[in-house]
Parts: sequence; C-alpha cells; structure tokens
Amino acid sequence: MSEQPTGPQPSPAPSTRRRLRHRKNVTGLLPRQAAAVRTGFAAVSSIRDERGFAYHAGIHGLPLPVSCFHGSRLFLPWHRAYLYLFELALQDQVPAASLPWWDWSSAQSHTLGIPALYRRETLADGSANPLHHQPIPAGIAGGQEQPTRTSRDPQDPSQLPTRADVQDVLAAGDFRDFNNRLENLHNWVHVWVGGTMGDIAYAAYDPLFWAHHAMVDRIWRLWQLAHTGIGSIDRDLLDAALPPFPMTVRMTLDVASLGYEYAVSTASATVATSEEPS
Amino acid sequence: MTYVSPPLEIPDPADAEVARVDLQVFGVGHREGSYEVRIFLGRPDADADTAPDAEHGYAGSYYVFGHGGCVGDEMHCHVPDGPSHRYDVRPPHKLTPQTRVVKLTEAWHRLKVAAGADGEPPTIEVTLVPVNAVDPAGRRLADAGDLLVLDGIAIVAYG
Repeated sequence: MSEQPTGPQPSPAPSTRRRLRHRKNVTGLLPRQAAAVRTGFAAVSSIRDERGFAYHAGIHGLPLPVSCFHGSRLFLPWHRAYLYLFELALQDQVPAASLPWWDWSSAQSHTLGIPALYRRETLADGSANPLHHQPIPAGIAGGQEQPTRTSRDPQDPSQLPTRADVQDVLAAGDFRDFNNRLENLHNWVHVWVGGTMGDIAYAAYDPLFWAHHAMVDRIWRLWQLAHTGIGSIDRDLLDAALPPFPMTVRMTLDVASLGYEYAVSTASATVATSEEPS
Repeated sequence: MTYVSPPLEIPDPADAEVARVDLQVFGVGHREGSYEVRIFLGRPDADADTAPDAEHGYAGSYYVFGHGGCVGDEMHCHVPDGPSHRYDVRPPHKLTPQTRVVKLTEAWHRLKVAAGADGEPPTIEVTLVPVNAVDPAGRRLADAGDLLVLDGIAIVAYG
C-alpha cells in the first residue's frame, strides 16, 4: 500500500510552481476555456508594445525583417519557440489561456472547414470575435499597398489534408524527411485558407495561424514520442540559434521543459494555498 | 505556366528491389504568392483542368508558402551565393531557393511503362502544374501565371 500524503505539502519556490499547461483540440474546449482564448487574444490585441499581439505577429513577416524559417530544418524548432513565447505573452494577460490546436485532418474539419471558434464574426452579445480577424498595422510594407486587416478565402473543406496524409508524415523515419513532409502539409493549409494566411508577410496576424501551428507543433510532438534516439534531430542543429528568440534548437526539443503538453482532455486537483487560488 | 520535363529514366515499376521513389525539385522560388504544384507522371498534356487523380497520372502535390514580394529597399531581396566568408554565421537569406522532396512510390507502382530496347530503363515525363495561387493581397488567382519557379528536377529511387 502506497503512503498517502496527510496534508498540504511544502510549496516549491514561486518561480517553479507553474504547472504544466495542456494545449487542447479547439473543438473540445469547454466554454470557459474557449472564453479564455478569446479574452487572451482580445487582451494582447489591445497592447501596442512588445507584449502585444501585433508585435508577436510581426516577427513572422512584416514589418521587416522577416524572421520565420521556411524550407529549412529550423522550420519546426523556430515555430515551436515562436508559439511558446507568444503563449507566455497570452498567459501574462489571461493565465488560463492556452493555444488550442486545429485538427484540419479531422472529419469535422472536412465538413465544416475552419472551426467555429475562429469562423464566427461576432459573439452572442454582438461584439466582434477577436479570433475571426485582426487589424494589420499600417505602414509595415515599406510604403507599398498592404491589407488593413486579416482575411480568409477558404477552399472546399474536403480539400484539407486527411488523416492518411498525417499518418504518412508520421511514418517518416528521420528528422530531415519528417520536417520536409510536415512543412508541405503546413504549406497546404496556408494555401487552403487563402487570404492573408496565404502570405508569409501577414499570415501570423490571423488568429487562426496560431491554431494551425499548434497542430503542426503537435504532430512534431507525436513524431518525437516515437523517435527518441539518433535521427530525432540532426545533431548539427542542436546549438543553432532561433533569432530573434533567446533560444536554441536544443531548448525546443522537450515540450515539457517548456511547460506545456498536448492533451485531448485533462483533469487535475490542487492543494489550495494562500498564494495561489485553486 | 506548366513545366514538362524531358523523358527521365525511372526504375521498372515491377522492380521489387526499389523501396521508395522520390521527386526532388530544386531551386523552388517562393518570393511572390503562394500556390500548389500538382505533379503528373506520363501526362505532358496535363494542365490546371486535369483531374488530380490516379487515372490521370496525378502523383502528389507540393505547396509553396510565398513571401508576397519584396518591400525592402534596393537589393534587399537579392539572394547572395552563400556566406560572404568562412566566419559569416548569419543564416541563409530568407529567399534562398528551396529543395522540395515528394514521395512518388505509390504513383510509380501504378505506372504502365515498359523498358526500352537493349535493356534501357523506361522513361517518363514529369509535368508540374501550378494551381490554387494566392496573390500577395490574399486574392485567389484563376491563373497561377508565372508563379512556378524551379531550377530542375530529379527522380531518385532507393533500394
């Protein structure tokens, strides 16, 4: 018989007390979880400095420099770092908010396309849905014509990648092959959504970008679970920097060390203390 | 604009020693809009209206996520040949042409091609058709125009 704790245990130092967060399937969010995502995006969207949405969205494309890595073995590590740091910014405003993942390969997506959380233009109270579109700051295209807000022009939902396409990617035996196949699926969805999601310069201004990339990051996580030894990453990449983020590839490999995981559902209980409400 | 390759040697589709066949596409440009490139085998007449199914020689697609053109000053989007010197640790230019790899194994198995005379391997033409283009303003284009940019292709078989 295992020994049971008899009372509240000593709390670790405040800096280490943060619990692992779980990113969830967007279609499985409880109303309060969906509300936290919406509230979080609304909160960061109202901030104009480096804590805000526009700053983070601009790192990917415009304003210059374009920092994202595509067609590169840094594609997955760079975007993992990107989502990690944006999610922290989101949680600085709304601690309960996490980035959900959009499973574009699901039967539901192949019927409905973009998830309702991101598809609805207005909320029940008539206010604008911050996950439907976002403004794009003026003057970020070097004086050239630019969109003033995000847009989408999705193709038929049946044209999205399928489960079989995802399984084919997961069957890749080494990182280089896996990265190449997964980036192609990723590109496919950007082209499928169309609008500003189809342009590297503006794609990250669309809130849907983050749900799409959480799915991409999740597929990498699933592949990592089955590929833990040599071949899970090219060794020459480990100490590569991921500018402008203060991270290397090595620092992105273990999502648990970044404080998150992917889960279909979670249930937990905590011991209430005076420092942290339960 | 489509690309049709000259006849390229491929292994006999009945060759049990071949485990995988890849199409490698070199010098893929991505400085303008985004688009899909459909790959057809043995169909030099394929175009944007050709059905993407096995019956019509469709073998798969690759997708290009484009940068939407250049908004920098003069030479901002000029891609240098490589690092300026051995101590240059800057990452490659973001518009460096890409190499794309698409698995053709299943489509290759379906091919009905015969070996040539004197034991020469069979050959096949590869047609690349750009479709579903999105311009920098986010509009879908009826015609992908000259978005398709590549330096060349290769078919590589692995045993």
